Amino acid sequence: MRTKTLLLTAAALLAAGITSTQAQPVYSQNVVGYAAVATPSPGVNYLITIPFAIGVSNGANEVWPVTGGNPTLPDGSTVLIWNSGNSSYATFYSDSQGSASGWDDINGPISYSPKLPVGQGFFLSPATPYTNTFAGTVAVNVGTSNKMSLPSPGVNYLVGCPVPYAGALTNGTPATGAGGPNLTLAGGFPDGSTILIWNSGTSSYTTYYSDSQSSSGYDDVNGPIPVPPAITVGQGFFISPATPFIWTVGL
Amino acid sequence: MKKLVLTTVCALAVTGAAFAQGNVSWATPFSSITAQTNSTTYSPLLGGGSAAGGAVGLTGGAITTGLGYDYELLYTTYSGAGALPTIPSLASLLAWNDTQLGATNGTVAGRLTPIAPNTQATVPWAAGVTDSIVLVGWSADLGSSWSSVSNLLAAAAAGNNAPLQAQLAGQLGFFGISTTGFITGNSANPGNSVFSTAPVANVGTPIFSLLTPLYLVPVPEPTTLALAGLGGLSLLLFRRQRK
Repeated sequence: MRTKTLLLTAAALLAAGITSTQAQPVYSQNVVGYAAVATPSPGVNYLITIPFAIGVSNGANEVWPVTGGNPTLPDGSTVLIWNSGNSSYATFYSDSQGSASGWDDINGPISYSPKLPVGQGFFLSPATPYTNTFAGTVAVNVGTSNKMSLPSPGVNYLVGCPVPYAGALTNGTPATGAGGPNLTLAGGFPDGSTILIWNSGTSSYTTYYSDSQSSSGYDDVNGPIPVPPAITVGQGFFISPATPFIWTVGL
Repeated sequence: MKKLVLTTVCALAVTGAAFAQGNVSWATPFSSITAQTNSTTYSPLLGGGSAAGGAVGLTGGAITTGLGYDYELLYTTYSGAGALPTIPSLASLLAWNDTQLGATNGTVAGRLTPIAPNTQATVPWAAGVTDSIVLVGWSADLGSSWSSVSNLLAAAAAGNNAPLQAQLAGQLGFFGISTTGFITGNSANPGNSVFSTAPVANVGTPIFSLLTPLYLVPVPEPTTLALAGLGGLSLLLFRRQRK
């Protein structure tokens, strides 16, 4: 009797354990991945972002390391990093031969590498046709959300989705931002905010406005549009919030 | 020869500095400017009327359907003392310069649609320089360009109403201005926004007046003038008879 009870208890515990495991799948907290972002035309400005944590600090020397004495990014390529405080760009040039850090600014070699953190957009103009392969860790852990503060209305912030998503800006669960960029009124994105999407072919922006009265949630300069704007993995864009905004993106 | 080269270089440098132009972002946020007409209150700038009262309708909306609307961005030297107060008179407004940046009413009632929207639109002042700005708006029956409309208004203000009467031909005309702002020209793309929902640190105070009013333009009726003339004539006759 005692043996039978013990066996039954053990079986029940085992079944419960299996059920529990099935109900709550176990994930690795860190998700690794890579993205190939093409920048095929020399001299053309591409607005991109790095959706992974790479190395210690996402420095340009970690994103595009020099391997075997050869630069990953073609020498003479240009990186423009936006300063939302004074609406200007800081310009950097890749220079594996003449600079110890591998980078110059407009005055010549510099002793550091520019930082390209997750969530920040920047322009890259390659010196020769080039496809960037960004490999690293997704900066947002599974089951958590990243919150980015865009505090000043009317200021242009150059951003990128901190999780490698592709698709409409309206995708995502409003509360957590899981599943997409979550740029909707329900996700906290203020109506009347401006999104600028860069077109590298014409070197110009297309302007969109968040508008919860529009069926797509967005207008262009002529009024409501049927389909919301979309981004690809590794694409940067500008946000100018209508009121202070905390952007929530989750995984 | 050396002197000639130096002179040429200096001349080119000076020319470059003199004609260096900045840029601004000429794209209207959908909520920061909403133009509406006021069909019963005369424009404070054009004589009579108060800032409130009267039946209103958004441009392009139900009340004003059938009329198109045009807008132009004007600028003047920035005093360094923040956004200018309300422009006190038509004469002072007409002293402002035209940026050549225009807009029309959009398909959405009250909304402005910029003509040739550009996040790097050139303005007639240099990058790093700040100027005061204001948006003027008018119904298209007043004219198709700011230069023609400003000429009509200037003539009317000087007492010559004939061109205005001829232009409107009995239709209602509307005219108004936004709040003033100031903005620093930029060299980056995107430039600083002309319109925004709030003042922006370091780059100025963009235009962010909701419900920019376009008031009825007063046009003295010919019948009124004739009646006034008849009244004067009868007074003269009455005076002669008494003598």
